[in-house]
Amino acid sequence: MTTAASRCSIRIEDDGCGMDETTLARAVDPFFTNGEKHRNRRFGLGLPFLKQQIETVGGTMEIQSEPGRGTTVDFAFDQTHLDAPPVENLPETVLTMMNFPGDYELLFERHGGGGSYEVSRCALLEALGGMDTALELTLAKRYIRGLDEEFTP
Amino acid sequence: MSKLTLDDLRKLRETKKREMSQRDMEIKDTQVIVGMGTCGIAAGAKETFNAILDELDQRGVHNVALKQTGCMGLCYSEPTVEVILDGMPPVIYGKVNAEVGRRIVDQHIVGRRLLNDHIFDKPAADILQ
Repeated sequence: MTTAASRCSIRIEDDGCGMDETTLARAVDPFFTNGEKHRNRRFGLGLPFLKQQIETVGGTMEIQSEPGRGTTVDFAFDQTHLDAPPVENLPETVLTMMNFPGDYELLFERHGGGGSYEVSRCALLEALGGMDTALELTLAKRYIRGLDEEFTP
Repeated sequence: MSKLTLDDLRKLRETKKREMSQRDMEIKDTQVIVGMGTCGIAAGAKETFNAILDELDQRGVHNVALKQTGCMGLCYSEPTVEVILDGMPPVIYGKVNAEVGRRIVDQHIVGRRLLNDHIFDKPAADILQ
């Protein structure tokens, strides 16, 4: 069962080389990779695993990509779905997602109980000047925790 | 905990940077790299990462770079944590749960002593770049 009232939405966006239609159609095929990241590897499991997990909890997933303009992956799921894993410490989880290296935007939105909040990685990076040092990470964690505590009913 | 705005974060960052202690400057360029591949996360690397961050914050050590990487090839010893500190050999610690993560901050980063019971490897040449 899914309800719009308890949804987490995540958008990951880059401005990389993007994918053409043929590649995009196979992006969630576990036995396909373009071989550019790991020359001898014949499979790519990241997006297929994500799709499987999202489908398990009745969520939605969409990939948009265009050569030369980058890729955007949107997915959303219901935290209260019977098969959803425990939320545990959500601010810490969001922080470790935001700290993952690379040049990309990650937008996290949480909706529920009549309220919502969002955290943008780019906005955090701009405010903190980076997200590598313990100082920057500690401040980012305080920011996310503050939003989440105010949100939680 | 009161809610912070992005503007509050900018101000706090500037204030904290001005307050950084001499000890912080001495351990500048220290890197702590947590293996956050699927194997690491399944073994509890997220808790390790946050315990290290919490311990650094509690001790007021703010200059350490805390980063993530993928699998270091030591899946049997996850969670793994690499520590690179000037004047000490770079080491990869294994089976680093939250408690060991806090010990790494206390003993290795602040005390400059290795945790001999958790050293699993030193980085291979291809990881060192």
